Amino acid sequence: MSLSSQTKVLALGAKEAPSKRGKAARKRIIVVTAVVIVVLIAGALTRGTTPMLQSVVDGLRLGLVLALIGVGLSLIFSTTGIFNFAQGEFATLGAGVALALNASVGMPVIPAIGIAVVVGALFGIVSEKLLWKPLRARKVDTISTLVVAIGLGIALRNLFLALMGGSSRSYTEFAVQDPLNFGGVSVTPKALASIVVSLVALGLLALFLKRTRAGQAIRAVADDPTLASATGIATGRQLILVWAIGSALAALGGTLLGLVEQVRWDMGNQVLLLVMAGVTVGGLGTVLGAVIGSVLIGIVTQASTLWIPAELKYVTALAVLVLILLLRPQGLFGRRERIG
Amino acid sequence: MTKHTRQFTIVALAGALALSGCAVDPQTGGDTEGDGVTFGWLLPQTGPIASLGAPQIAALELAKKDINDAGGILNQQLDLSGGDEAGDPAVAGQAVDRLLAEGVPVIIGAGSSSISLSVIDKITGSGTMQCSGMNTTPELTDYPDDGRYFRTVPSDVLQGAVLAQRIADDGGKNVAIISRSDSYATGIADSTEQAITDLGLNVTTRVDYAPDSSNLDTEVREVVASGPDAIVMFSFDEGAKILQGFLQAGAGPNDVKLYGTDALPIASLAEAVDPQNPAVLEGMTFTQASSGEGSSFSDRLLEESSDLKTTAFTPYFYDCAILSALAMEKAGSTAPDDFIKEMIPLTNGSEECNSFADCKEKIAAGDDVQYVGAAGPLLLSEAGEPTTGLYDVLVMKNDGTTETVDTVREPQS
Repeated sequence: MSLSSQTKVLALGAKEAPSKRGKAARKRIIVVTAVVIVVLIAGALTRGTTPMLQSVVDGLRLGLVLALIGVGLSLIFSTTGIFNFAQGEFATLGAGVALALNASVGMPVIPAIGIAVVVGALFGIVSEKLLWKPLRARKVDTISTLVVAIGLGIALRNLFLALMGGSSRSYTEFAVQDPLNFGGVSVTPKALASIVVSLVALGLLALFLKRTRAGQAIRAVADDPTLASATGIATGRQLILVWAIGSALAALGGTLLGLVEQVRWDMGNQVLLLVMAGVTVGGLGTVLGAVIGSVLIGIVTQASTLWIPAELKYVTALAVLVLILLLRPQGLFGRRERIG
Repeated sequence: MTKHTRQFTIVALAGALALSGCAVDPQTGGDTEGDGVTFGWLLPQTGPIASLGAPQIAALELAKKDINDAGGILNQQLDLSGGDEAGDPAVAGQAVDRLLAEGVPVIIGAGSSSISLSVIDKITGSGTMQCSGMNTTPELTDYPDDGRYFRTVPSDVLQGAVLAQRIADDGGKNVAIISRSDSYATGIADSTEQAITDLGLNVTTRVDYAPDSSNLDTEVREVVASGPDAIVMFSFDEGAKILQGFLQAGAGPNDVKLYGTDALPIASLAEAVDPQNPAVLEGMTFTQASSGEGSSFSDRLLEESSDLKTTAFTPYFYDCAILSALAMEKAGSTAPDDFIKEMIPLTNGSEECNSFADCKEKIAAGDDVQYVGAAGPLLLSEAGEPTTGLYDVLVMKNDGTTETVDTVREPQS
């Protein structure tokens, strides 16, 4: 992870930079989509259309959950410079809170998920106030902060192990569902709900960042914190907001993962590598990139099993990561960092 | 004044420590007559398999009672000294260090295969014998232990054959296998696949998944798409997630026959799959190393300690203790180098005997005995593990508990 290849800009695509950058981004979307479609057609021809479509749907579901977790990672990185290695645990926190409310208190799953997301947001705010802000105030360097994030992740993970035990558990509702069938492609209602909820949440985030004052302020801070505070933006407030949004989205991703699969103390850490791959492929610091990169990684892992043994599916995802970074070190939608 | 008192205390403590150190040392080797023999044990009192520890310790206490009631080993009373394996190689290692310092000739344990693998070099390297009644990994078969590691529970290779036979008996023809990619599951999956093919059944697919895989959708679909009428899974607790996948893909226990092993958390499996429907896995079949439930041994054990929740693996640990004691009787020595070589012959002799008292008498009379104890015949191989094993076949009922429908000896003779 070379620092010069990372970008600290929140590019949302075409709108804010209608000139060269917008066009280039649109062109890259077309290229990526074309490559994916060619691969998928090849898959459909060699392995049959239904299995191919099935793996695309499975991959989309997984990829969107990765995106929910990853967008937070990306937002936090672009505004604070912290690469939050504990992001996976923020997701587990959401899933765990929902499980506790659901299995122990007996609350229905859907309101439990709502509360879990709120708890996630609060946890993000608390972590900013008690940890990240004091670290910033003391001018602790990036590497040390990174180590703090890794430590926080390990500590939380072991806390979850102590509280939840080592076994996997399901929510009391929707554990086993009859799938819906769309021309041979089967999707459980909960997987479909997971796709829809993810898309809505990501859509709302995009609208928030583009249309609201607070969102624009966040983007300004991401672009240049010094300049932003000079123009009268209260940087500290925006950072609290970023942590709240980032960890709430991660908590939502965790609950969706727990709903479709199972809840486990290390579930967030298990997907963290894929989340990081998705965010990096898309270009660190861009929301659009995080979403497209994550979906790409999701589909690649699922579709690769049509050709290669299932044991190796994450290898393919990481091979894609390496390949894309060799061709475009800043990721698909990242901007090359200005030096000097 | 205070200063002097403190100095005195330190000196006194140091002296006491030194003395206690001296007191332990002369017992090493332990073939002096008269003052007793101590067996060490390393069992799970805490940790992920802690629920199995208490019954296993009770089984060893019962063995101690049986041995001492029959006059002890070489006229010495047997005593036990224990340590907690705790599911943690570091804690287990400390317990082993303490037991070795006490100079025990044999350490019975550990429960978990991976803990055994973490301490086996330390134990066998010090010349002490190790015997486990619960380690089933094939990895321990050819482990370089200088012939000092034994187990009374058979390797999982035998269980694969039982599983395959059960599938054939149930009328399965096209079998799909899904297996965690680790040393336990790969070993037993290989032997099951071989046994299934040998029985003339068709293996439709075999999917090995990475143990740290979070998402298993495609693996599940691949298994179901191969069109099996029976599915065998070798999983730990991620098995619940896989089973949810099977149910949602139309391959539940009502559609195909599902099989698993004792590595799955069988008792809590139905709840993990669907907390609201305990009947979700009704009809799923499991094999497990026989816990001797309902045998005269388990009756006797439960009579001694009525609060035990399970008897899993207890006969094997009991046999470890009895067999070690008999080997000492036969060798006329409690030094490991002398009695270890008697272990294998004692399970392969021509004159059958069933209890410590019975066998001891026959050994004294010069008979070539075969110890057939709580777990039945052992017939230890040169590698120090049973060549025969007793397996329970369990079927899940509609309340999420299981019923033992059959007990099978493998290989059938």
